[in-house]
Amino acid sequence: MRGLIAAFTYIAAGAAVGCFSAYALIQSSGVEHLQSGTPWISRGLGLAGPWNYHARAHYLIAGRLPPAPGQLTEATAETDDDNQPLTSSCRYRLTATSPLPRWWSLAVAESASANATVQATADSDNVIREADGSLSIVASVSPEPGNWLKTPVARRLTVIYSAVPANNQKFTSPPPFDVKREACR
Amino acid sequence: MMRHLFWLAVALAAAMTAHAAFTLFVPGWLFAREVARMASANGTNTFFILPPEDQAQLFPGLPRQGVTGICLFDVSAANVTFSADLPDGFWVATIYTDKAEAIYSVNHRQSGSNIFNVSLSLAPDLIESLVMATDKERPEIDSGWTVMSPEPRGLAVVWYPITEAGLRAGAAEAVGRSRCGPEKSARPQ
Repeated sequence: MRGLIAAFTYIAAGAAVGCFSAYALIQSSGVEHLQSGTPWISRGLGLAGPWNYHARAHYLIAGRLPPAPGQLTEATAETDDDNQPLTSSCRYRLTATSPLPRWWSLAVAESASANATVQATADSDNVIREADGSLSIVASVSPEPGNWLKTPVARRLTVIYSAVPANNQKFTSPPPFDVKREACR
Repeated sequence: MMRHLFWLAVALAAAMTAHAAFTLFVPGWLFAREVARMASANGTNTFFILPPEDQAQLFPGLPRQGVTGICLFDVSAANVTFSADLPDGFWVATIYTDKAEAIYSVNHRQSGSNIFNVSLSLAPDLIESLVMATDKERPEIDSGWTVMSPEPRGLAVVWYPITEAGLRAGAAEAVGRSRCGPEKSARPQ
């Protein structure tokens, strides 16, 4: 009996390690930091590279599809500019740092599951610019004046930037937004 | 000692098997389950507009007020034609396999027209390719309007962004004029 239990334990532990390593490999494969000093990462090149199977699996596990290649660019941030994880207990300001593409969108979703019921977006068609032309969006749980992205109540958040690049913009350019933490509860 | 080494080897084999099985089957199964739920009311080879919640699930980075229409196609029995009839303005139509591999994508400018047909068929497998190579009968190279899918199932997706949430109903009706269905003529054997 003890032998059977030991055998089951070895096999179950091996299977668990195998599943965990597969999941970890899928989540980390094909991920590229777009620019040092920014929190933005992309799987765009991963989808076209040797790890494309794993990069696609990342999307499939979340029940979603990757952006249309050559049409849309997508980057995500799971940390702020100071490399601290994004969490709903803090308020963040996303500020445009350079010219924006003709169409862009910022979404905040719960990490990993990208839960549809708590996704909020701001895009080029519905944001309000300041009088001097600058643009900033506050992401927080409670309402803020100006452009506001409602963040879901979650331990970890993901900001998703999508854009249709202009003809002279590269698909691998980092999103032109800073992600600064302002205050935490 | 030898007994422990044996069981460690068994655990390693179990880990490798579980790793491969997870990588090969779990992502596709989870996605297929999600898409089947979205298409449960419409079935395969039918084009329909996703409600905002499902749209946000499929593309969480895109605004909810946009319109996304999908056709869950199955070319295992017959070729399928996706007949797009889209409104003016910016849109993107993309064909994905059920493994999330984008095999064709076009936007309003590249298409040059808001009304077009895309014929979807199953790409020949290795043996069929060899037979065709021997017979000197190669299939048509994928053109803008003919797409061969390496997988029998997949999704044709149209995304149409709009500027105001109030315009969604009208835009959804316009995008919903597109159709998806099996080709009438039987696939040549």
